[in-house]
Amino acid sequence: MLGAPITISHYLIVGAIMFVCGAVCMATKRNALGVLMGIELVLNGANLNFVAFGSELLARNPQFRLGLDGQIIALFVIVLAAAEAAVALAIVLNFYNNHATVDVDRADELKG
Amino acid sequence: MVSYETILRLMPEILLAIAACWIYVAGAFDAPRRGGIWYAVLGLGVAGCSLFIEYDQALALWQEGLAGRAYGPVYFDLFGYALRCLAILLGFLLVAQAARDGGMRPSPEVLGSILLVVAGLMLVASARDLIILFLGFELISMPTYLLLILGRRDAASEEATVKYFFLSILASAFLLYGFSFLYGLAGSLRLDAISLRTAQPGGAFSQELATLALVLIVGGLGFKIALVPLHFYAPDVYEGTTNLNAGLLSVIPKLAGLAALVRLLAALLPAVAGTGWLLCVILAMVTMTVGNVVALWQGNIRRLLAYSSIAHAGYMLIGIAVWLAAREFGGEEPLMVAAGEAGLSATWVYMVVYVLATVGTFAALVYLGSEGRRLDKVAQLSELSRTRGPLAAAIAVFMFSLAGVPPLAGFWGKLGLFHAALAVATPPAKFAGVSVGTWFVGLAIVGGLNAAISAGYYLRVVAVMYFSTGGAAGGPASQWPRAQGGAGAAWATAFCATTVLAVGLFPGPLVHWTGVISQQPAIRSAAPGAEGQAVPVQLARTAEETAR
Repeated sequence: MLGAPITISHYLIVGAIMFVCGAVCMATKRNALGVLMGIELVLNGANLNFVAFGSELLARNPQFRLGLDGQIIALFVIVLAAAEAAVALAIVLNFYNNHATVDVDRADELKG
Repeated sequence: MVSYETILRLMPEILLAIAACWIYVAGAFDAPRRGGIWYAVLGLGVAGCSLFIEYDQALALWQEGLAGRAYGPVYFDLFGYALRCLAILLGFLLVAQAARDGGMRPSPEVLGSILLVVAGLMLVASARDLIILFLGFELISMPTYLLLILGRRDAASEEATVKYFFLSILASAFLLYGFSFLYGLAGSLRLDAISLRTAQPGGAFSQELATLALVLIVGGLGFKIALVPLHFYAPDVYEGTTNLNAGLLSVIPKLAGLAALVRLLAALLPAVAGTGWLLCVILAMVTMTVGNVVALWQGNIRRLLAYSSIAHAGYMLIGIAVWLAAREFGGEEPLMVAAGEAGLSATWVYMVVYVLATVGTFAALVYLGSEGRRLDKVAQLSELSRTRGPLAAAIAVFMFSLAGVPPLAGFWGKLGLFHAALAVATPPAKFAGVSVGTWFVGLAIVGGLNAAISAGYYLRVVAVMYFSTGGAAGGPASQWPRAQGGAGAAWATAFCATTVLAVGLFPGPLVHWTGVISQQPAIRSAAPGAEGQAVPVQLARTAEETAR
């Protein structure tokens, strides 16, 4: 049991759990900052997939190298998540100025 | 290979980004906000010129029957080139409207963001790499958030921003998650390498994972295009923001989403055509019907146009469904390939016509607004024909075109789509039985019924302008002191109205050129080595290994 190799599938499962947790978090959290945490989870769930697929250590056939594409896109996504967090905080601050709360459920004026 | 030529090909995008940065920085020292608009126009103009310089090269590709050239992470082909030209045109139209939105000079951040959005659309149009594709989408999204924050400063606007922001990121995450499976399947982020891997007969390509990736990608792009299960944000966001932002949101993400959908489906074609066409047929039917029916009882003009934009996204999917079905059931047979390309071409005709009419309508609404007073309700358009005849006529032209009334451009768009659907449905002998034909006949019928339903609300707008008197809260726009949208918005409206009329009377050139870009082998299948595809495409290492 302990000698069994860790394969890409294991990473994919962890990534899928992170993605689903993040999506659920975004759907259920009422606090805008909680939703922001959900965003980090979904993006990093996808990132984990990229890095796992691209990893030489996990490949079944070590001759079959994929290069650095997966790692590079993961880096881009990390930077992107930081930029998005900055914009998100600006938006949430604005929201707080208008609603005196960061509870996104209070944004319910527009419907029809 | 990445060479200096790659930078040369990307020069329009680079110039736009430089112009945007310059506008952001210079805006800090330009308190009266005089310069920004000219810098924006200049930036767009220079970018347009540098795009125009490449015109002969793009044309040469077509004349030589080449697929297009790959420069590192970007394609240079007619499909991308045409979309980039359209993006620059849209940039001019949007900046012209922004020149005096709500009777005020725009803040430099608004103009810079518009330029970046245009650059993002251009990147998506020419992406050959999933990284560029994804970052292009983010280059569209991030400035859009900024535009939404800057547009209005009230509670409704905040709500619209928050909704759009969180849902847009979730959609991006779905797209990214789908991309990660594509990467795992093909071992490369290059679209042509993915295509090569999918096209391999009996390869180790997992059909299940391909379908999963397809569903995730369609989910992510469906948000941008506003397809029905993912459309619910659109009406709220449009209602909560300014007319200018609503105009931008209704065209640019849609264009980018459709372009990316076509590129990705082309790369995945043999593996996903079987599930893809059914998915597209069902999504198209549901999207058209929901959009059109709910639009019938909207009193807010932006809400109405939001549902109209949802419905039009449904029509556009008809062409994609035709393209996929032709590939699935016709294979490489020339007649069926032609039928599929006709479907794709019809989609792009429809898209161009929709974009012109929608941008024109929102430009007219921007024009009617004045400081502190924004046109919100359909009822506020009453008596417009008497006080502002030409503007009312322009809006009427857009509405008739969107409804698909014969002499106007929208009619040709709908005709092309329904014809393409029926063309795939008619020769049933070659297909997998009657059922497929029935699906497409049904699709065409649902489309026709929807065109009739949509006439209900488009004609209501026209009726309010021409036959209704007063009765709106805040008074009809015609009785407001004066429209302060400025000359830019007026010119944008006039340009769009003229083009819609011209395309309606002479649809030939547009149909011809969309046909040409839909025949680009880079769209058909990016796999090099096949006949007629002298594409100097450098393969990813993995793809070479698998081919061995």
